[in-house]
Amino acid sequence: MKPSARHFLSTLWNAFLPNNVVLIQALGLCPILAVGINLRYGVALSVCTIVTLVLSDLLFALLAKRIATRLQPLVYVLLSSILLFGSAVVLRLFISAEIYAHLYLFLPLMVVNTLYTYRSVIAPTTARERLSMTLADSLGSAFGFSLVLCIASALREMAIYGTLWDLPLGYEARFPEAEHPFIGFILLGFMAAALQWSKQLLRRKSSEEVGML
Amino acid sequence: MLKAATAPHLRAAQRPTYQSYGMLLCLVPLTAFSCLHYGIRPLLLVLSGILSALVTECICGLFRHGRPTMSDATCTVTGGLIGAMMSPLAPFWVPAIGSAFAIGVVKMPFGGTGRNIFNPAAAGMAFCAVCFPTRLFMYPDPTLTDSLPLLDTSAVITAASPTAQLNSGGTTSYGWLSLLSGDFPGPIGSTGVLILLACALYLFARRSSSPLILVPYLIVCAIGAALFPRASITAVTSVSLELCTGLLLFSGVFLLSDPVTAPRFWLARILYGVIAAILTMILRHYGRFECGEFFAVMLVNSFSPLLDRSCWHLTALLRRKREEVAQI
Repeated sequence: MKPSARHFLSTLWNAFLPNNVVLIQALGLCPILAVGINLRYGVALSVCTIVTLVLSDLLFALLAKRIATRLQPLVYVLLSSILLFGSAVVLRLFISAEIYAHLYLFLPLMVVNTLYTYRSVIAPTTARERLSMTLADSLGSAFGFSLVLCIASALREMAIYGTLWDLPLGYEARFPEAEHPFIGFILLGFMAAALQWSKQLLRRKSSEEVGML
Repeated sequence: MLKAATAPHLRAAQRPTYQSYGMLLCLVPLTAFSCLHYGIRPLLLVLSGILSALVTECICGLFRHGRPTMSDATCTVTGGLIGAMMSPLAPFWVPAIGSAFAIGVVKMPFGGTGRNIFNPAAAGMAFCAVCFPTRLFMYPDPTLTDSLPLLDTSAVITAASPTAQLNSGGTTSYGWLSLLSGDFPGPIGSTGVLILLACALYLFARRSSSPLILVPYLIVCAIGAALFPRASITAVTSVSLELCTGLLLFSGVFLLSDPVTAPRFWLARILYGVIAAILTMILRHYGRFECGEFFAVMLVNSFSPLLDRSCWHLTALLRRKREEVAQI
């Protein structure tokens, strides 16, 4: 594998899980706590995030050199807002007005959340490197956010309604209190702990392998 | 040689089990007093909390060490306290869930005994209050002569607690004698006011609890009740009702003085009691629940390290200034 491809994949993987925006950096928590009670809403918000984050990062990576440094954050947020507005319109008109009605309060928050990757967009020096690293970081961050959102949404939907993607799972036990944001916080806390534990386990295994060699 | 150890930082003669046995001993007369009014049900509720806490601690030990462990009796105290803060009418699964939450979410993930940030019993009660409010704040009429049925309590005549009556702004019919004799609706462990005071003295004598927290807490609560009564009653009645009803006294005796979450420095302890009292009175006035003391305990727990640090620095600064003045 080429070094550039390996670097691309390692950046993508690092942003996806080992340096997950939600579980490690504790960003983008608000939409997960509020919207993450139904897998359909979770997937809809994930798609909006992926589209907005990746497109705004790529466009900004292309434009960054031509914009004055002090104006860069402003342009970046404006770009994200325009793209998010577009994806909200598409969601409302062509996908589901009901899902839009549930998400519309939290969609504007995603503009702020796109700032997770802002540093990675402006950091690299060459244009080509900037584009590839931006793509890797945006995809990793967006899919990492979506993974956590979808897992939290699915678990909470199963607990609250006994359904998954609105399909009944055939058991009677219900825990409607899982709708409270504090349950979402606790769930995210346990997910973050599980991620740290698995990272620690992997680190220990790799150090053991090095020791054996 | 200096030895670094985790909290609770007790004297050499004391161990966490010594403290836990003292607390458990205090819960016995409180539960027995409730059993006198309502039959065996309160005892079973307390036992259900304890059993759930023990099972959860064993499961957590299995996860952490590969074998079920119970390092000390602190989980028994947590379960017992949660059981004692329940209404005698609560279903048995409510204290069980509260205890499981307290041990499995608030205590063990932070490293077990001595490492938890919040008081597990207060957090367990807060969880139950948010999730099952209708099951928690419905009390049986203490004038009933029959024991409460064990399972189906739907036919039991309920009565509004004095705290609920104050919350609605109305007058209350409970006088001094009713309050001191525990003849009013309330949680299992909180109606025996005189027993609670005796428990506080016993814990002070054992040095398991500090009067530096409880006394300022009660004084500030009394001042708050006298200055801002919740109903059109005299200041004396307001003070007696606020101090004796709900979980105010119970949380002061058992939850606030927890050696893990309370500050260690004397000035910090006084401030801790004062802040807890202010928060308790604010929550009583404006809170959603009639008993919001456990929320106040959790809030003040988060100030504890800050209070310890800043009070220590403050007294050190004052001492230094005094020494400088003396030298001059």
